Amino acid sequence: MWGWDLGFIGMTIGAFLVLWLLVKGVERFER
Amino acid sequence: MSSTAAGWLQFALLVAALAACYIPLGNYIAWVFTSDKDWRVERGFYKLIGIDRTADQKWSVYLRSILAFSFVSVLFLYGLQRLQHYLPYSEGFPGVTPDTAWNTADSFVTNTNWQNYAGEATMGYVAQMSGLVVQQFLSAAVGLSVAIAMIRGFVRSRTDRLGNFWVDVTRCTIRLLVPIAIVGGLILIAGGAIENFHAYQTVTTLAGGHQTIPGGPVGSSEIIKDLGNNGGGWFNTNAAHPFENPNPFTNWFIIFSLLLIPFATPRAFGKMVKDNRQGYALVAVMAIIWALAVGGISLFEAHTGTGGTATILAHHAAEGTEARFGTPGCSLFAASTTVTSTGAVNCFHDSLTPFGGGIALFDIALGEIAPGGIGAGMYGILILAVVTVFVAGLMVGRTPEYIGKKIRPTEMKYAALYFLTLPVIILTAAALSIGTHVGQKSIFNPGPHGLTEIVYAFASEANNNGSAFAGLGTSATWYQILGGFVMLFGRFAPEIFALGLAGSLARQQPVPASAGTLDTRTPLFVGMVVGVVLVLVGLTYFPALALGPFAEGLH
Repeated sequence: MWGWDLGFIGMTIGAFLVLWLLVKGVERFER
Repeated sequence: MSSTAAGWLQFALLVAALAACYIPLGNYIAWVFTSDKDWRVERGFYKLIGIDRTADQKWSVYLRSILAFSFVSVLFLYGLQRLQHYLPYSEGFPGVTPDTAWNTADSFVTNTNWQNYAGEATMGYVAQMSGLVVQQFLSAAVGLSVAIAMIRGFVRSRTDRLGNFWVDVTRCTIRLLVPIAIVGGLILIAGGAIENFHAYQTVTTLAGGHQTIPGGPVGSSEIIKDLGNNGGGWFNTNAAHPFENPNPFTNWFIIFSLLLIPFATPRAFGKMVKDNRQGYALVAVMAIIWALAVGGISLFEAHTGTGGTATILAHHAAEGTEARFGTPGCSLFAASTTVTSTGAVNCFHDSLTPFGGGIALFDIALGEIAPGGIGAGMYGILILAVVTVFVAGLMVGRTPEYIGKKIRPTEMKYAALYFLTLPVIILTAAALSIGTHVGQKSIFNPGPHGLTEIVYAFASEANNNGSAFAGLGTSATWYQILGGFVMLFGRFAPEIFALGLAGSLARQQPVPASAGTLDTRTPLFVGMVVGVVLVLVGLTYFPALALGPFAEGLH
């Protein structure tokens, strides 16, 4: 079970990291 | 009185009640976000979390605040569900399984409230109250905050600042959602919704069987479920359960609650841009599309010619309909819950006639702008208004301007990206599920209806609606994980483009209206926005609609 928990926490971090990078990409596009 | 007449009377009363609330509530929403003074409780909260309430944020900082807040919320909600057996009032339930807990955390933080579990058989009282219900307030407040930041993009000029997310979300919760939820919750409880902390009771039925009767603080949860366009029911059968929705009055009041804030937000927009007629134009677009959806679903559910033998014998499409509310009550609820991002249900959407269900799917595919989710409907329709102004400029040579701001290629790129994001997410996820063995394993209805179920599921998740066609095994790990990602990206990726557009508009110098400016307060513009919305969405989803509900209905 703990493996699944780590996996889902990792997926959460991954998803928000992608969104964070998307914001950064849009900022770069803006410049 | 016939049930059809009762249905139209309910609709007329809804229109009257929403119209009566439009100006006072819209003005109040505008005041909430423009007032200079903080309440004492708000100042205490800012001090507690270390926020400088005077800091004005750039669009990207505003957005990063949303992402940080939502990231922490997902992890907290996940942990709370996994550890619920350590909490009081857990009613003996074990920790929620990891895949369901993650899907549910994503679902409630994104205002979707898609539920792959039966609430009364999975969640204890404290997990529901301190986790799910809290997120029903906060996710709604986040949506409205984004809409307000977007409006500031039109109001402000020569700046790259759109406000302070922490102030907006705090004010929205404390000044708007909590007071209305207290009054509305008391009305629902007075109407018969249950409110208690009783342990589950097993009783012997008249037939000698045993039945477990659940309890819970349902009335206070039910109101924010609807008011915040959340939709996550305390019970598995959602608003078809008599403890959540006991009678026709509560049924009407629930529909009113879920439409209340989205329909009043255009007034706040008009007030903030200092031109109330702009608000009237947008609310007219919303009202027309909502009325078309109600009329369309009502027509197909009441029409006995195409529904098969059982429908003809019952004189309406009775399967899956809650008998207390009848087909009209189901149709009005189904249309209202799918044009907003609510997703609460009082009848079984999988049992709607093919075309009735097709309209529900189309409503969701509209991006929920009529009137849409709390906040999400407002920023969605503003972007479609921008697209309409641009299209009108191409057609008749008018200068593409909206509320004194030029619609340049930069703004159109943001609008196009916003509009394309959701179809890409929905159709890719649906294609992956249809095209892979792991996705196909959970399709219990083959043929056009199965396709409709899959497209509806991902459209509902990506647009943060949360209602479902059953018949698809979405509790399978594939759908839990893919659905979690669809909800997160469906919620936050469009917000990135919406706020990017707002930032671009805020940096502009206002343009005075000239002879070449299209008047965006006229019935002509209202008609053009309705046309653009229907054509854009219709073309985008035409193959899926043709192979799903159309093929099933014409078979």
